[in-house]
Amino acid sequence: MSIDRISRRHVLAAVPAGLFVGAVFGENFHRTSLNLGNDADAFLAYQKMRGSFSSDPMYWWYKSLTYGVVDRQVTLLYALEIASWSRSEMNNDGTMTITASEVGYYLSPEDGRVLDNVTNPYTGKPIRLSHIKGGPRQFLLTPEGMKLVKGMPPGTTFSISFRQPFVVNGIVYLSEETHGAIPSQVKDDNGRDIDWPFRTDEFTTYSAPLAELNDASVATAMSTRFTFQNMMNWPVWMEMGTRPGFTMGRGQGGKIKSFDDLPESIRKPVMERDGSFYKNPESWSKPKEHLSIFGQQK
Amino acid sequence: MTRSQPNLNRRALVLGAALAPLIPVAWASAGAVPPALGEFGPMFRKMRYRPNDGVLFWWMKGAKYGQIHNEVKPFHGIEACAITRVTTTPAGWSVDVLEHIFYTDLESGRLLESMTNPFTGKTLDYKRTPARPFTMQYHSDGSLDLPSEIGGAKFESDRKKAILTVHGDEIWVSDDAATKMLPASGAAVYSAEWSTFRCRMTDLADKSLTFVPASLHLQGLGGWQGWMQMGDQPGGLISRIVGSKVATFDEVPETWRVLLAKAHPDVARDPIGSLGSR
Repeated sequence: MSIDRISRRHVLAAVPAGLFVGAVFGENFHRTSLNLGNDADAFLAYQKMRGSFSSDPMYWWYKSLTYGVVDRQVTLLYALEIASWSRSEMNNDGTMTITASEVGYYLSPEDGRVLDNVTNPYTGKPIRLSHIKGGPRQFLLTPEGMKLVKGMPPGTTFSISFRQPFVVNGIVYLSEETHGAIPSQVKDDNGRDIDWPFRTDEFTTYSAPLAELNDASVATAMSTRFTFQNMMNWPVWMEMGTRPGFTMGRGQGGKIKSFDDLPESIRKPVMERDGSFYKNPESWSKPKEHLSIFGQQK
Repeated sequence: MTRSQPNLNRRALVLGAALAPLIPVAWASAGAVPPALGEFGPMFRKMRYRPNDGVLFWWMKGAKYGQIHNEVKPFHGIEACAITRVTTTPAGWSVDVLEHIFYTDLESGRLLESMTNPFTGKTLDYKRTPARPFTMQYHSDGSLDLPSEIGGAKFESDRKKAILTVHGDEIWVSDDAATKMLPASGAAVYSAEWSTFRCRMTDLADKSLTFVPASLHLQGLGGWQGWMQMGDQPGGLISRIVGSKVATFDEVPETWRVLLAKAHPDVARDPIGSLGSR
């Protein structure tokens, strides 16, 4: 959908009735002075940061470090670098459907080389890693946050909400919270499979210049950067069973014009290992045998 | 109920309060410094503080969550700002800091006075204990002196700085600290705080600039605070904070300045004076 087809209604229709008065004063997509205290304008900023009013593809990258935490004692486990592709489509009710796929690699936090085999520092067991291949997944961007549409296992519950943005020195900050649970099984101490939902909590802050968000000709704020932190169950492949503890991650990334603009540390492995994703991410889908969701893999 | 604010003390420690006796802190830098930026120490100083003597303000905004096993529930918001003065010393530089932190209601943004504990359902009263200024002594390579003992408890800190990412004109640098307090009796208490700074490399490389805009993402992992009445419950607190460095008091978000003016009108009138003389 072209940017010109975004009407005032697209924005207003997405806002609950109780917010209608504020939305009217919030004007429309073409306004050049967003009032981020207004729910409709805040949603517009969220859409320009997270999605796009154009159907042109978007490219993202991010890099993170993941730590194991047991009794608040922290052990650095691995680095992770991700290349992500997405496309946004406006819906008649003002919501935005985002389709996204990603590939990523576990990297040595010391020297950045791709890790294919690691030793679990808690159990001492060797692990053969299967890298991240996710998607395509579909999300719905709404004034209440993101909703998962498809691409996740049955029984998955997700809540993705965003908080009112604020502006400091011309930079807009918008935080997003994700709380989710994916059906999963682990082995208990007797080696029996038991249900053990994979829980994930993620806190992300997006930032972008207010001037870019105010620019009516801008379909997506290319300067958007984000930092995030997450907290998750042990990934299944670590074979931690029901041991206490969890992982914490921290990372940062942003939008890029194309995969050619990926940092070299990930561009090279994507080209070498997932060339079809690099060349044509839209038609790519992860191998059926590959279960890789937030570090879950078998 | 009036309670002290142990987290403030912890943060001061994680930041690196300068108390004797001092021990050198572990140092690590993972990524290479881009040649245009010179040595890590001066680059870090310019990014986090400023390359010359003067003042700056790090405002921060975020939230704190309780965590039991893998269940996470929000407790309160955070509005903070570190009033900061940098002075060059023969060994490196010193930093005087007064960081006033206000806990706020997550929904209304108002100063927190009471709340319902999301885990126990108990009504909690909260009264903040104002912070005091402290000084950190940096060496020219960016390393920092920290105490080995605090109030009779052994104190260990593993502090690491590293260049996380260089991409285009942007650079991300981490400054992480994991601490361990070992009281004369009782179990060790662990905490961690991870800071990620971001700024433009062209700003860092520009020798004419004495103030470089930078942003911060900070996440913390710590124990329950006394006023939360969590007793011996497992788990603890995690925090998520974003912020940025600004050059003047007027650029600090108004929400914090209003809270400060109400709680500490003297500091609001003379923020730099509140650091004491140097």
